[in-house]
Amino acid sequence: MRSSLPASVASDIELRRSLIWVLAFLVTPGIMLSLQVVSRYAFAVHVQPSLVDTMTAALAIVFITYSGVATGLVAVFVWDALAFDRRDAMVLGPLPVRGTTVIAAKLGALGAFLLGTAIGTNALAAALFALVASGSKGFVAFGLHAVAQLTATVAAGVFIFSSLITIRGVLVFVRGLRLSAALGALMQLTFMGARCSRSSSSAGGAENNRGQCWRHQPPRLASNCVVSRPLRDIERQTDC
Amino acid sequence: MLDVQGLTKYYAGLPAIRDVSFTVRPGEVLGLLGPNGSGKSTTVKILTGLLRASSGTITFDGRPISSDLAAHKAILGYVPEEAHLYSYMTGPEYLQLVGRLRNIPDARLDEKIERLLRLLDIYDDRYQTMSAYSKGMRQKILIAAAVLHNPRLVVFDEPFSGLDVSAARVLKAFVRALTEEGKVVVFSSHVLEVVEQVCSRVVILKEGRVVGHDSVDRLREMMHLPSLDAVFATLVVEQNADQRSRQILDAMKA
Repeated sequence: MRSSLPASVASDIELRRSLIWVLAFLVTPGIMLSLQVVSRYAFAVHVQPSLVDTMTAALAIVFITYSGVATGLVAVFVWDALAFDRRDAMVLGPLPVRGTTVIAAKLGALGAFLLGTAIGTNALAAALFALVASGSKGFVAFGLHAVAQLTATVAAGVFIFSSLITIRGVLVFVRGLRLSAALGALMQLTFMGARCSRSSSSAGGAENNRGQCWRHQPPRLASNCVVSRPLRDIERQTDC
Repeated sequence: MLDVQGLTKYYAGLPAIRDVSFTVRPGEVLGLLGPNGSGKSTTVKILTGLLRASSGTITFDGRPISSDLAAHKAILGYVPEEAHLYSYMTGPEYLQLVGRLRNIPDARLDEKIERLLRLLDIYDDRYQTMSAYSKGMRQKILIAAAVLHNPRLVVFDEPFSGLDVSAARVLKAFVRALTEEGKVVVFSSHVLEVVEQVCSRVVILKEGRVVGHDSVDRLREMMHLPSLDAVFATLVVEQNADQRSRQILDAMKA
């Protein structure tokens, strides 16, 4: 079967598998989160306009935190591939390619990957939010809201990504590869925990919808609180 | 002509090679021989521009390679000892990457890649990523990548690693064919039989120094020894192989 496929299909299949993984693990929770909070926001826009400013601030924290956690999670899993390693040296070293070209290519790939991840994980949430926030004000208002949210969330992702890569780079430079590798594993665990606690926060939110007040929930991870507290603020304002 | 004079390399103050000198003319294959740690790989990496020498000069056709390293790499083909590849790519994709970085026009590149893959018996595996390749298949990709641009200087570092018998026979014949084309070939290995078959001259390294440098026949004649293996044993090997093997056996049984 494989011999009938065009030349670059095999690696395309691997790429698609990776994209599906990213979609399932990062984008799906984002969609669920958006649906959960945006519906309440829509309710406030139409029924309780006095809550809109407070809810907008809370939503900003929710989406920015989500973007930071999602992009950070991707960063700590891929940062080894973004460094110039021994394999790069052995493959590219004997080729007539100047060092500046290699560095520019690495930075270009880093930028494209970062923007792709940040936009991919935040685009749908931005569209949903813009749809509700713009109401019946037309396409321009929708576009402005979407661009504003995308800019804020992508900037948050870029900040977290750049911070992590910088910390990693400094650690490699100052303390060597062993410590930075150990830190890499720790960071993967931390961001995975943050991502998973975000899922449990969504589940908790669903329970709250059935009438439980946020003050009676047991404390969770700090990262969870950053996201879940504004979420519960929104729920409290529309429920309690 | 490749001319290496007084090549010396220090790692953290410790000498890896000292005062290594040799020349290789077009149509010659120079064998680099030596035990582990003798400095073969260091010499090869300096020749390919992967390392800078602490001192000494390398010139190709009278021009120092350090004056324009990119130009030197443009005429160089290098088969490294270890198969470092982007294993998430397929073989043709990897060769396309290498070919494009060497500025080979796309149409000619595609045709060359297909021909090389067929000739190296990996055409049927062209849709698999290289992570699924055997060691021998990866080695064939490295060989194809090294000669894709018709280089004038070809450096082989243990090129037979992982190759099966028939592929090894083809490669030996290919190395000889390169010399007929007037290429300058440097061949680093510790497989003495292969070096004896393909190399016109050998440089024998021991602890970073040249301890023998001549044609295989001259070395045999001068030392009144029957084979390159015997020459190598006399110049380099300090341990009696039989005695050492018995000691290992004793240690195993103890």
